[in-house]
Amino acid sequence: MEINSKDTAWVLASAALVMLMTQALGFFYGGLVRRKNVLATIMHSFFILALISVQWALWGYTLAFGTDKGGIIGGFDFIGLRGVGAEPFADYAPTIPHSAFMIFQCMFAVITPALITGAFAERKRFKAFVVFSLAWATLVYAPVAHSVWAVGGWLREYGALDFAGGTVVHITSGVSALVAAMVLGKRVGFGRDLMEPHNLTYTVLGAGLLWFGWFGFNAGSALGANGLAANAFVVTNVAAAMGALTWMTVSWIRHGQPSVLGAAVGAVAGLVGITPAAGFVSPSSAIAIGFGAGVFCFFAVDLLKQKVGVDDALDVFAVHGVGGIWGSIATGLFAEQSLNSAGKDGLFFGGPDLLVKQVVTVAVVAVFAAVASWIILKVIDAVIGLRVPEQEEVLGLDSTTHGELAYQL
Amino acid sequence: MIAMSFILFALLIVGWFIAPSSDIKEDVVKATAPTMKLGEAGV
Repeated sequence: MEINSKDTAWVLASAALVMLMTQALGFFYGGLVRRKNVLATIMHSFFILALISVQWALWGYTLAFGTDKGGIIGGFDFIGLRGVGAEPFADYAPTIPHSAFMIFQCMFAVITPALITGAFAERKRFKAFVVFSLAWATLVYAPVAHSVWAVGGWLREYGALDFAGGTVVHITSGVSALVAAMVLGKRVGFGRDLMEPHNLTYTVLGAGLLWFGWFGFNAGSALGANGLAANAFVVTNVAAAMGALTWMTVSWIRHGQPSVLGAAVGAVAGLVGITPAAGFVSPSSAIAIGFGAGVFCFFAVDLLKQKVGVDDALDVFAVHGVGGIWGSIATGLFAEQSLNSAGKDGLFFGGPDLLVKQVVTVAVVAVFAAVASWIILKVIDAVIGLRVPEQEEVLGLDSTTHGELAYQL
Repeated sequence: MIAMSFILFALLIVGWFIAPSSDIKEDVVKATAPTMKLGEAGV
């Protein structure tokens, strides 16, 4: 098939939009931490863009999308991006250059480990963060991306649907974040000291830019400038809006004030929820998915922090883990094959099988991500140590790890 | 060329491992927590 310049332009623009999301995440997280840790938190997202971009080019891409080996990993066909050029990769995107598909996927690989950093914010040793991100992208992200998205991947063959990364991106990162928070332990003073966000304007800016970039994330996953992309764009916007409205409303009823932070986090929850479903559902289903994400994620934050007592510092599991699980299951409820011939009908449209497959996929990916992340973290802890010394944590990572301050006021 | 790329990236990874742990600078600590002296931060 011939290269289509419109499809190519859209996918390249989408890759740039997804790249922006990782930096938006830096602001989103940076505003939520205390002022002594804002640079260290933003650095996580900025550094990961550089780190995983090189990892992806050298071995990450080939492990995810190389010729299938046993249904769980790709071969070394594309090591160092050998053979990844201007010709299309017909298995995935027959109308754009292979290199355009590769760089679009690269940005997904970049943002996924960046999401996890919110769980260990304000206490993780920088060296441990670097090694963890590299190991996690190789040992968790690549096999899951291959299993769910690649030709021959066993979950793809099984029949699971994940349009833009509900399982590959959000469940893997959310579950791994929960494990990381448990292995690292609570921050010094957790439950005793006030740990309020130091700058919510950063957080709202980050949420707005995430919403913007998510159009590339979801609509770009159509891999063409077509009706499927347009539908994904619309449902993404609707679900984000419903997530924001719902979270803010629930928060207002429960706490008595219409929270700005609640609206921002709710939008992100709605975006997470619609991600796996974006190519398979209608706008009215997106309203239900956004509503569900707002409710489930809101109560997950409350439950995790207040009842369970896990210090997932920036609520990564509650938003990305729970939102991803809800979105994947909702795909099994609301998917319509009439919208996308590559999809299937969900439970509400006469197809109960899909729901079962979505639930099985959620369980398998969550367990794999949890176990693999736990092993990686324990090995790193034994070799170089996961946490900074208590003195450095109290002083803040900006000054003690990076020797720089965010504000000279 | 691919082998060279791997070697260059491997050199960076080695660099991260051998890089010294950060020294806490007194002047930066003063700017962060003016009332705190080094060695007093432990809780």
